[in-house]
Amino acid sequence: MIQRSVRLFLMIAALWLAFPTRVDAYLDPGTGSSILQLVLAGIFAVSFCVSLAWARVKSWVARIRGDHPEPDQEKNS
Amino acid sequence: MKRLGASFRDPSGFLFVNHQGALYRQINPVYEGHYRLLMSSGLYSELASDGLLVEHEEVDAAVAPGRSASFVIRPRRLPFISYPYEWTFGQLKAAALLTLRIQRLALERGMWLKDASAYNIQFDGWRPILVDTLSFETYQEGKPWPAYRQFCEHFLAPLALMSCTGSAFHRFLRVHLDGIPLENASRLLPTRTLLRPGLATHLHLHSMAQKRFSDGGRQKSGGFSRNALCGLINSLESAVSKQNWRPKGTVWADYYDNTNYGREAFEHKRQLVGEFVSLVTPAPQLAWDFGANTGLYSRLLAERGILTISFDSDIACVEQNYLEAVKEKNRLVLPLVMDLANPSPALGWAHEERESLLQRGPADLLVALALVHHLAIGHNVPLERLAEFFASCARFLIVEFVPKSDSQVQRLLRGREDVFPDYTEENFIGEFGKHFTVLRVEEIKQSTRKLYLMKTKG
Repeated sequence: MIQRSVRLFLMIAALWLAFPTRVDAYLDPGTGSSILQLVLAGIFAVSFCVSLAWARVKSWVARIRGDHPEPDQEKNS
Repeated sequence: MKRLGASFRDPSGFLFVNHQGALYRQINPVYEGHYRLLMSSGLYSELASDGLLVEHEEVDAAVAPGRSASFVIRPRRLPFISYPYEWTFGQLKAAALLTLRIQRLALERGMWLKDASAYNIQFDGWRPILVDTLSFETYQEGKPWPAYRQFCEHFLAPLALMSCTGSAFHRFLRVHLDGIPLENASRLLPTRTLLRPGLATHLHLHSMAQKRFSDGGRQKSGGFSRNALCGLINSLESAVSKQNWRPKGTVWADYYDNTNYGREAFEHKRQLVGEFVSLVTPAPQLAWDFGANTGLYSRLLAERGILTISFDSDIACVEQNYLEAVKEKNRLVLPLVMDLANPSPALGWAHEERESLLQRGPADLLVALALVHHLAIGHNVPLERLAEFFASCARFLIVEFVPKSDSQVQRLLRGREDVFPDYTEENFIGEFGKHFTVLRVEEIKQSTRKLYLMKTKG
């Protein structure tokens, strides 16, 4: 947990240095959200690929053990 | 033809009702391509058949009030519209997870949600359901998700605030109709949430990014891949799933355990309520249960096929009621948070975006059990005003009168001056008699209380 927090702090600091600060400007609440997504795109993409690979490994192990994996989510009815 | 007051922000189309009160949605030419893809990609069929998106049928575009309609659809009309500020924690969380689930399913069919407003979700009994058919757009590869900020403000921020600091922030939802500003959420959340990756990223860092680039900033080069978008959805889903709130220490959630009712009185009251309901003609379709607590009597009505909106001001009771409804998969009980001393007003632009409680009525039947003394003595509401309000809520009323001699009333009066000389059964009958005709009255065995069945006059 502490290691993750340190990484997060370093990431915030890097972001801070990477972009110039500007104030007293017209508020565009969507710009920051878009930039944040673009900055973190790599992390999100890697985490998704890792989770996908992990799910495949689990499914492969379950198949070998003869388990029947539960469906991801129940239907909403 | 009348356009609905809440349907004006999205240029893709709008909702309107005809003279008979039937609900329609006009689809404008600018949205035609997206709508065709929604229907042809199989996304609509998949979502509608799984109960995730409200079903609709296409009708002749000539019924549209404007000449520019590409399509007109007639969505299934839900009998009662509720708002996020009336939902309990569990309902908001379920609505958030549904939004993300739909976003994921949409991506598989080449579309995505262009908005993620909590007001696009309704509750069909226990089930959350998306009611805005025009929320889908053709997926644009490489672009960040345009609804990311809205999702965080409408869902993650209030859930995190309630999870980390308690239910007091529930009231924020009624103040901030466009979602809780991330800057506020970030300031109000405890410092320890900086150590939680989901909240640190989507609320704290997000808030900082918004502030930092409020002037537009310069866009980072590169794109936002599909994998990145899927990672974002996973991350949001994980952050939402980790938010939990378990009510404890509430007065009302333990009400049925601590009440002064004996077993026989309790059973007799249940039996009388059942009898009174069966006397209401025509048979009620929609009931409001005021002061419903954890929904014991709401379920009695639901068992008779009546959709019952189960209101209580105590969010802990409503959460318990909702969790029970989920467990039962109960489609006829909708628990909602409602403080009757300060019920939901008309809100939003021109007071027309969100309807007041009364604008969403009247119901066929109002049930107010063990409630009158709380409003009359606990909130100093004169019986005259109470009768007037109840008469505007429903055609029929089942109401319990609790006399001053009752121990619960004595508890309310303890430590304060009795300034309620008019709180008598005689006055109760007199004031309610101005608006209602009494159809039946019964004493509840082994108690000092009486149950009345009334019908509004005129």
